[in-house]
Amino acid sequence: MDPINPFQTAARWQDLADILITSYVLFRFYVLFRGTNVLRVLFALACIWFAQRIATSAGFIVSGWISQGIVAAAALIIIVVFRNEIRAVLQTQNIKAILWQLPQKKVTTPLEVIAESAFEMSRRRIGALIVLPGKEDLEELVQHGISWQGNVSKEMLMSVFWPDNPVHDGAALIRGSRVQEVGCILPLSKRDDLPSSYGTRHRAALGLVENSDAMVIIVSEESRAVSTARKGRITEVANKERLDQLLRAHTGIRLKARSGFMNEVLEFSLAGILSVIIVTGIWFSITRGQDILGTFDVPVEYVNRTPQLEIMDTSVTSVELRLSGSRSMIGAIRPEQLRVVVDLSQAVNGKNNIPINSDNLTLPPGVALNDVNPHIIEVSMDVLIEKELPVQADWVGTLNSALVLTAVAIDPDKINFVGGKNLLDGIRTVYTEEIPVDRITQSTEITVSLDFNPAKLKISSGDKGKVTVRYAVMPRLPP
Amino acid sequence: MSSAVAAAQVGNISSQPAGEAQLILGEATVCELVKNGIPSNSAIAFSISLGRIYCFTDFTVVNSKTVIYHTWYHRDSKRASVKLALRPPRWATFSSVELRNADKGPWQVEVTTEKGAVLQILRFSVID
Repeated sequence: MDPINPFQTAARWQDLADILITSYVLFRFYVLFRGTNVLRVLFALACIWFAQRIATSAGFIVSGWISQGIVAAAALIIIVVFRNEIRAVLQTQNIKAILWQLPQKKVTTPLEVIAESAFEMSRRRIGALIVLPGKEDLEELVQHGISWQGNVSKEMLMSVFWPDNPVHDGAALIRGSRVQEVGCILPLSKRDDLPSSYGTRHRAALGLVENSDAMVIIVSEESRAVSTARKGRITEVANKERLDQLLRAHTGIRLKARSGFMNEVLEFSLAGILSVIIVTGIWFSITRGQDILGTFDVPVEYVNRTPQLEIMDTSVTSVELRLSGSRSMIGAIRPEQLRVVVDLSQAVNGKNNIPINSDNLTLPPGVALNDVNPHIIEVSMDVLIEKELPVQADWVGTLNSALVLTAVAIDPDKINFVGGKNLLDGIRTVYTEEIPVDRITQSTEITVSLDFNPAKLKISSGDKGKVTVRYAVMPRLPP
Repeated sequence: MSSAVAAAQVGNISSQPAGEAQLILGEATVCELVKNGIPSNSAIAFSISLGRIYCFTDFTVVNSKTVIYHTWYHRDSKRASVKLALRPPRWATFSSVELRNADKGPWQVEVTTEKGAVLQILRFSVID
């Protein structure tokens, strides 16, 4: 195999399609799961797989075996650990969004209103807990409150958290421009290193962000401090501009829509290119790293024979090809992809020794010829003629010693054969099949076949392949 | 030939070339023994245990010394070519071959003139 340009010899259209399809799947995976832990774990698994390949090639038995086991269980790990994220993607996205649409961020959440409301509530000493989900599903973390479904407004938020409102102690869940639920109960953080100034709202906010990518706004009733909880940390926010900034960072909504759009185009383009590079790398790793040898028996095709000459004999009917290539390519070879073609345009009457080399072979791309057996094929060519041959009985066995086989007549006693001139010139007689004499006791007649090689000789039309043998026996005379 | 059972399987008798003295073959046979100029137990199958077989040819009229050939073939492969002289008044002659174990199978003896004209081909087998 050519080590300089392996892809050129290896690439089939199926491989290119394979790489493109797999790259697109990887790209869609990125689009759907970006910003979640799924991609991080996938990256970790990719690293383990890469390590496994290195360990295997280096001959590290134990580490190779362990990493192989992890990679083998990867599908199960991903499904079990990220069942919520996978469900969220599959439930919230339609088929178009899953297969080809790029996410379109719309400024649907009135972030400025939320920021302003938070500081207004702070000013009025109204405690509040506002949850803005990220990409991960909060189904199993948040205990559902009361469905609200109201458009976000300052008045709405203040009325939800107004101290006399029965649901003011719970959290409000905002999705898009709507307050979806109020009075939601969040899981409390179990950390014991939290400042004493943190109340239940802070602990609840922390409990949620420790286990999800959501963002929670906390307005303290006692200290009037406005804080945000995200990625397991609580940060106090000085003013509404800063809060607005943090909200935009969380939701991915930028002030300058055009630059945001350009950044997304750049991000997705980069992700697409990286997907192709990664998949191509994996393809090379799989297909080029495991070259194996395969032996194939390929029938020989003879072409361009001169009309006057017939092929009378060949030293072989098939040729053994030893091919090398990747396991997948060798395994995918179909019989019709291998051809051994011998050009007889230069063949002459008599024996022709024709070498078998790469010129005679048709191989599928991606495999290389290691050896061919035999290297030379002997082809006997001859001019077809018709010749009349006398028929002779071929007696075998042991005749009763008291008898003598005295005479025989064969009908017909001559048969016309068609065959190569060189062959027929050397044949004086055609024999019957063996006729045993052991049970002969009297004169009689039998019908027998002729003994000849039908691959080389043919009986002329009109003649039959069987003859009648009439014979006579007499008692042996004393010497 | 094909309608009657012949005393030996014969064939390929060709006419003699012009200019060669006419030679008429009266009898040609392969036999187990030739004793006192007479063939004994002519046959078309001979046991290998005989150890030797004979080809006997008898011509009707031979005016002068004439040479003929007995050429023995085993499965189309020439095994022996025996030059025989016919000296008047002796018009009969014979040749023989020794049989070995490898000689089983079909045989022919081609009786030809000095110039190669085939007078007769005798066909027989050597069996167990």
